[in-house]
Amino acid sequence: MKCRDAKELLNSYFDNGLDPAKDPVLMEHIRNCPECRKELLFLAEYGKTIKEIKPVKAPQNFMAELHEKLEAKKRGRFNRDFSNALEAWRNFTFPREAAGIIAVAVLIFFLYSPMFRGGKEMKTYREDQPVITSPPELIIKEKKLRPLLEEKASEDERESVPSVKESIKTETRAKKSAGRKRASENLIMDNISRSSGDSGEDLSLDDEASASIKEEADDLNKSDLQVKSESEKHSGMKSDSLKSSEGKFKYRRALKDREESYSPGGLISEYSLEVLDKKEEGDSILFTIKIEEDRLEPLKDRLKDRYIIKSAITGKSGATLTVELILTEKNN
Amino acid sequence: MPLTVYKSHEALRLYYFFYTLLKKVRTLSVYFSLKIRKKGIEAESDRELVTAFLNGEMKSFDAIVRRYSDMIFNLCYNIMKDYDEAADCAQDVFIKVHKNLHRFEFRSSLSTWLYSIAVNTCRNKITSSYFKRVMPVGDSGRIDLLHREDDNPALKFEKSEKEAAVREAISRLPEDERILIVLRDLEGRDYEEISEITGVKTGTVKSRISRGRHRLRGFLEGVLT
Repeated sequence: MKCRDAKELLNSYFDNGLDPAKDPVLMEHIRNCPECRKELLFLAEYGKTIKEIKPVKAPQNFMAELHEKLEAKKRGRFNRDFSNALEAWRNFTFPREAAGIIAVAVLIFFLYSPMFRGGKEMKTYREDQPVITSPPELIIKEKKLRPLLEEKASEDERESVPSVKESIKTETRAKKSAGRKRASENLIMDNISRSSGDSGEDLSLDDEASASIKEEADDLNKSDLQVKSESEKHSGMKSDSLKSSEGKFKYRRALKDREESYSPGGLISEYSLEVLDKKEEGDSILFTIKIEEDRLEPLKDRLKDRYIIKSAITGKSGATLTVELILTEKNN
Repeated sequence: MPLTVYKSHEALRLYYFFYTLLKKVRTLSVYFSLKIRKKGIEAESDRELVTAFLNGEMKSFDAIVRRYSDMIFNLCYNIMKDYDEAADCAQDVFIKVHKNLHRFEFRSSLSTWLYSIAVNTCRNKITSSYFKRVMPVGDSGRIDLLHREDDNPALKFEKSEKEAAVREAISRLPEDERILIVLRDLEGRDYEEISEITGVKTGTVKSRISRGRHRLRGFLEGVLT
């Protein structure tokens, strides 16, 4: 028998509470083996002491503590954490060193911050240079003007960018009108060449051509007017933007006035003449008017540029004359 | 609109009435069942206690604790060799039981289940860094019989010097051997149960226990022999 088997047997005998002395084979090995003998002795003694060891009882407050713990668990994690945090807050004491450091930092900041701010001014300021300050009135004026200016600028922007569709329309129309103008010019040139070529015979043709030209010119004017009116409409969409289009109107009116000032009708209205009779015969117009003596010559002078004038004094009553004027338009 | 509101209100009231009625019936039945019991709660079997606890009776859990607290505390004390730590550990064990009793399926006896929980809890506690810091283990060498700490509350349970020496020796064993030795020699469980508790095969348990006893002989040389 080997020691390992003997130990195993000894252990099993010990576990089962049997007496190993009843096993002769084992006892023979033990007699020869001091190690196994020691083991046997130890196990016997060990068994005795183990039997003496009495189980330890749980503490008296075991149940109460257990219930407390269970309740604490029931209360939940949040409450536990919250109570812990509360406790920590209560136990928290602000370290004096940190407080001191913070105080010093704040002091330094407030002491030196004006210096940091004033740095730039101190560099630029010199005593020998006069300090220019704008008077308060000017500033106020500027302030008042600024918003108005801004408004105007915004208006201009709005006008300069009309909606895309309208701009396309006007463009196409302008192109068309330009094309027509060219066509009419060509026609005129043709007519001139013809009239210079054969005189007399093609008068009727000429007349037709001139008529057609006139019509076309009318059309052109109309189309121009349309374009203009549309553009006016477009500008009229915004009530404020009328102001800018006023200039155009004024210009046009001035042109008209100028034309009228050279036309007899315009002049008559200007001189507030009394028109007795008016006849039109071809190119020439017959006026019968009443006019003061001294105003007749300047009137003639005004009309000289445009018309060939034939005048005849038919009557006189005091300073006012009754004059017949035959005005024939000059052909260049 | 008012009609429907009235109806729903009525339905709620009806529902609440039946709910309270059911509750009262249940409490009454529990009350009478407790009254009718002749044996008393302490004499009930583990299975009855567990089923009662799972049906919401806290008293049966208390009964379980009362029945097994000493056993579990003793095991913990034998493994940890520290009174307060053992109490803490045993309480943890019962908290775990309270939490997980619905998982217990009566495949083994309740005591075996409790033992396995206790062993695992103790093992976790021993391997935790805190415990290692507080209670240094692995101090090999012979045990001095005269070595005593008077302020140790455990000493009143250790009547003889030999007993104290054996406890000390067991506490010096490595963790796995210690648990097995405690279960076998101090708790008196058989090998099958130990293998069931620890999840170690019976042969391994046997060999480890014999190795542990051999080691104990080394520790206790001159004290027992």
